[in-house]
Amino acid sequence: MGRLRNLEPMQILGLLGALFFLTAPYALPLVVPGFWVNITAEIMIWALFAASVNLLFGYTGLLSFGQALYFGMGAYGVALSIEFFHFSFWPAALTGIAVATLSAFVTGIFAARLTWHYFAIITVVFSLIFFFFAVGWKDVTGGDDGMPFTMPPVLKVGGLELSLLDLTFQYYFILAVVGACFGMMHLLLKSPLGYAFIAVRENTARAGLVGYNAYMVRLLSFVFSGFFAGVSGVLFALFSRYASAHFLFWTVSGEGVVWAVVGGAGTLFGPVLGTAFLIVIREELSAYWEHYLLVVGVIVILFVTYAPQGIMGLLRKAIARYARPAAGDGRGARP
Amino acid sequence: MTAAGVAPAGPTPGAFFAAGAAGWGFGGLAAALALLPLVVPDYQQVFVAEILVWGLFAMSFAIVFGFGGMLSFSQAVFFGMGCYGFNLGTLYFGFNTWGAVVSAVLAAALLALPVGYIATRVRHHHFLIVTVIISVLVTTVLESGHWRWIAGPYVTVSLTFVPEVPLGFTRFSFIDEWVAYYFTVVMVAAAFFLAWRIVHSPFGRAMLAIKDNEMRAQMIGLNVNKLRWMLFVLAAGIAGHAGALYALLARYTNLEFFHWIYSGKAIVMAMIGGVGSLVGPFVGTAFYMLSTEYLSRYFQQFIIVFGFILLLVVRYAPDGIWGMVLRGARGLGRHGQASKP
Repeated sequence: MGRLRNLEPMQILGLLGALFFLTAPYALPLVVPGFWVNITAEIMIWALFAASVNLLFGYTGLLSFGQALYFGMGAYGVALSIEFFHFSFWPAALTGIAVATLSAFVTGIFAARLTWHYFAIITVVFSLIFFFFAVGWKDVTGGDDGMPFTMPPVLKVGGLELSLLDLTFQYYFILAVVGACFGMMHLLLKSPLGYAFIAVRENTARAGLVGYNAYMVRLLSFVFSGFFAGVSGVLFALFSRYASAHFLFWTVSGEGVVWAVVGGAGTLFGPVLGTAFLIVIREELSAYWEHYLLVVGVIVILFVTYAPQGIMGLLRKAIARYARPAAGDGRGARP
Repeated sequence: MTAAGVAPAGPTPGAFFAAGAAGWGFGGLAAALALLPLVVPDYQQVFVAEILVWGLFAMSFAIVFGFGGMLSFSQAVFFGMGCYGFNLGTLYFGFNTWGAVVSAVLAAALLALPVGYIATRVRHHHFLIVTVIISVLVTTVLESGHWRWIAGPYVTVSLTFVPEVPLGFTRFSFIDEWVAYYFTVVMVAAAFFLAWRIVHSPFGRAMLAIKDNEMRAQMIGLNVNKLRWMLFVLAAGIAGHAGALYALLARYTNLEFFHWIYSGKAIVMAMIGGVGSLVGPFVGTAFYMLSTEYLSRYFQQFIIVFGFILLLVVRYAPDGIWGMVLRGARGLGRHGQASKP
């Protein structure tokens, strides 16, 4: 009990969040209709995507409007390798991740040379090129209609067969993968490389003088971000059981940016909050009003203008104001 | 240029040389544009006029980005508002062509007032995000059935009559291609001249100061947000002007013109030509439109080609084609002057 009392307010919130995600398939149906479990799973996938945008934008200072490219590459990697090459589950998933990471590396060679304006434009151009390509090559990609595929089982040992068709298993599978990715991201950001990202974001010239190769750092950040976007694409393809050219479209990238910014760019769990907040709004509002997009747009503009640190920043401010003095550990008096 | 990067106040031989060259250049260009209808057939006159209109649109982006440092993805919204204002002027209020063009510029500038007020409050990446969102919001409102009364019949329109330009006691009809051509050339030249005067005025200098170092500009007493807002509205007005000219030329407008894809087109055209000057965007537009006109016959996905061209330009010549030309000319000039004391 003593340890629990010493927790920071932020850590308590984190523990509550973890508890929520761990118990959602059993706890949520008690309160709200059962489909919210699936929405929670979707939130986790998109949160990973938003986190990949955040890795570039929040930590390395590169705003990419083309992150959907790697998301779509992951999704198509899975769908095509199952449908055309009849891969089983794990090879297909690994193929998807590998394709996404590889394409991030190839495009990153060009894009990482550039910084902010030009970087944003060139990532849009890259994703548009591949989008038109995917729409045009309808025989293979299915174009705008998308291509469904049959789901192979995840694990088959004797009589035991685990498949994503079992929704509870699917939920925990997604939770495990997303959780592992966030763990990796945490380790990455606490490593010297993670500090190099921040150094490049803060002052590229100074980072160069200290001895970092800014281009290499940006490229690595780009490839890692493509990797995480690819994982989320793979998960989403498995979750929705199809891949579509629309996954490569610019709106997907835009949504990722918006989620990351609203949640709080430059924080590890900000994107999770932003994604959850905006997806819940979407689900709740779209039932009543087809133009919920307007509400989302206004919310984003308000956040960008008045709270550029996002929900995470608001939360920190609120904690600093209300929780710290109550804790009575003297830190509340910090100027 | 002195070491501190401050332009000397009076005319120096170098500046005079540049001004003279610019004067000759513009004179020659004006003569070429005026004499063009004698040489090329009708449909190509319209094509040239179209290049000028899209060039003006690209220039409006170059004003915001090249002189204000704001990467705006909402420029197409103002182009679309120009089309909308033009249609509203002709079809709803029954203005003649002049009045419709004025109402187009006003419509774009009026929308830009609140949009710019919001957008210029934020910086860097956030500005980009806000302008993207605003353009998505505007298209959402216009294409919804809910707010039919806003879009009305004025967004996607084919003009059923031939526009006429009343001038003094006579009126010229757009049924002749040369009328459309000369009208466009004159209107684009007027907008260009206005923009030229503005970016070379103290206001334009102040914008460059803000772009270079915002904090320093604030310290010397410039009201940064207000100046950015003014520039944004000005560029929106020019984009609206381009929209009206396009509506006149093509006699057709579309909801598509509001879409951010068209902003992207302006950005690509302006960047290929060079965003640091007002001429660059026209050069880039001419390059873009001529090559799409002649390349698209051979293969469909020329956006891939433009992706790579843009990449090369951004990487090796960030000041664009026109910047390369100017650098070349300046190099020649310097060699010529080297012998003189």
